[in-house]
Amino acid sequence: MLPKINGRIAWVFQEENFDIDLIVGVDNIKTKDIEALKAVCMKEYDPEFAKYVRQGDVIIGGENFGYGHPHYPSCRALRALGITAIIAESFAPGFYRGESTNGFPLIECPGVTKTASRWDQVEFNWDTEILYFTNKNIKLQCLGIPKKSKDLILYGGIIEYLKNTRLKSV
Amino acid sequence: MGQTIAEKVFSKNYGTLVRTGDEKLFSPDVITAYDYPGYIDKYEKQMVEELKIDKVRHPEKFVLFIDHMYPAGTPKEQEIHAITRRFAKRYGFKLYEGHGIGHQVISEKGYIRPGRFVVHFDGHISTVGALGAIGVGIRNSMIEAFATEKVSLIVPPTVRINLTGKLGKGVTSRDIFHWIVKEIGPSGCRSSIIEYGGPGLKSLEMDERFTLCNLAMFLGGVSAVMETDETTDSYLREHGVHDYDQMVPDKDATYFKEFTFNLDKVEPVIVMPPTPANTVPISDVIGLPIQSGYIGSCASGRIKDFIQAVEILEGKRVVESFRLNAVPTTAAIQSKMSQLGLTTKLIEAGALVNISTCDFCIGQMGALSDGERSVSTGTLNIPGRMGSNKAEIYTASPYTIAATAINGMITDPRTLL
Repeated sequence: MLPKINGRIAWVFQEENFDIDLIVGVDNIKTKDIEALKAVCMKEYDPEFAKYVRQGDVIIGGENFGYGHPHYPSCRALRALGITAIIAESFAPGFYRGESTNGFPLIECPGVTKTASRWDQVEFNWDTEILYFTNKNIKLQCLGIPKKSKDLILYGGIIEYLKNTRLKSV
Repeated sequence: MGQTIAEKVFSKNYGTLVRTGDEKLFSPDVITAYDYPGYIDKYEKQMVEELKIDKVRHPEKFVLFIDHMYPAGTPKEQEIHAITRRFAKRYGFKLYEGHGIGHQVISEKGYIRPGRFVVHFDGHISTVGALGAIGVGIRNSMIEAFATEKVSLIVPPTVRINLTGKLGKGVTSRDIFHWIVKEIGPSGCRSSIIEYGGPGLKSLEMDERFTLCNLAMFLGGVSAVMETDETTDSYLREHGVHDYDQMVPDKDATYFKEFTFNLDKVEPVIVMPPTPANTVPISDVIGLPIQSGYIGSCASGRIKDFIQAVEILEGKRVVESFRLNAVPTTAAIQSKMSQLGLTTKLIEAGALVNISTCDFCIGQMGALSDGERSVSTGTLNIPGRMGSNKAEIYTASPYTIAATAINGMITDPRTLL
């Protein structure tokens, strides 16, 4: 079953072409220790981010989110703090490929940055692909999610996906 | 309905007609990667321990490169290379070590021909588009390619970029690319294949074409590809590739967007820190003091780049307060530089000519310290990319870097030509 996305908006990145490495800082993109990554995650944006974020929250992004040379530690840190999805106006293709391969839900939702405020409550319906702002009673239609991306989310990433699908019959 | 080059490449690969938006499993003609901690060492672990795959069906499709952390500076780096050598041996993959930057060596060794589909984890594999092939950076889904020799992909839409006119004095393909980013924005070709063509393209040499394709990701592109012509033929012949079809789009191909740029109008530009999205005309930053320069990388560092640098530097000296690193993209290019006398001229002007390696682009060699500024033909100018995150990287053309090295401050190269 696809994961339930029903939580608060922990942060809104309004900026276009956001470089994902800034979430943990370029100094930390080679860091592997997850506790160290959690400690620096979003520190430049809200020093108390880790204290307020909770399991089920989501991040909102602007146009071309993930532009540049994206590395994996930022999203590892976000996931470890409880972030369940990133919902953006659009994603840079390299970032999208990398994180969807990790089984992380990335949802393109035109207009989302105009509607979203920090700590809004949102719910995503996987069937209709509608994002519902429950505290504002606003519904936004998201773009269709490719089947492969859904499969990767379902299996929790590429390795289990391969084991359970394409390598199963071999 | 006609096809774009991308639709032709993916249709040929799939075996039947595919269109933009189709989600299919494609079979890459070439599967390639370089080693760096967390890449080939990880693939080995995934293949051997997690997926328990002991052999691949077509080892000849795979080619690996050791070009980062090269030569190794620590025993730990050498261990990473040892894993790559072991991995290549285990599965029968070809490995090139010390031949230079893989994104270019792959073309020199004859792996690339028009119409081929190539995958790498690194998006700069788009470089091969200059030969009418499509190289896509599929990041961590490389394991899909290693394990199954197939990758799933939604055929991206194509953005057509028509080039007209001819570059003026002191202006390079590096300026063309960043000029286009300035004009249409860093997401101007987002999630698309960029298809370059037109009479302006014909005026560009292969070295200049590789540069344009290499940087596709900074326009938001999935990749880039170019119409092939007699210039492509001559490069392919020189590298032992003879059997291929020309790659040009059909006249009635459908594009997501189309742009035309007149090369006559392109002027030297500077990409300001901290992002490749940030291009300004050179006139905005003339006179800014700079301490270091780097001509090299998979984006630049080819013969044409060094000819341009030497045009400025010959008979002059790099100012004493400035360090200029010249790093050929490949060993073959380095050899040709020597044959052409470029190496001597660069050394006599005060440049440090290095062996081919990726390491200057990532601050592994020639690192910048706090507060320093560098002009660079490297791929990226984010903080920390070439050393300290308190150093600033200004991306520029080889002409501009050479002119800046003479004066120790950002200088319009046209004033020295």
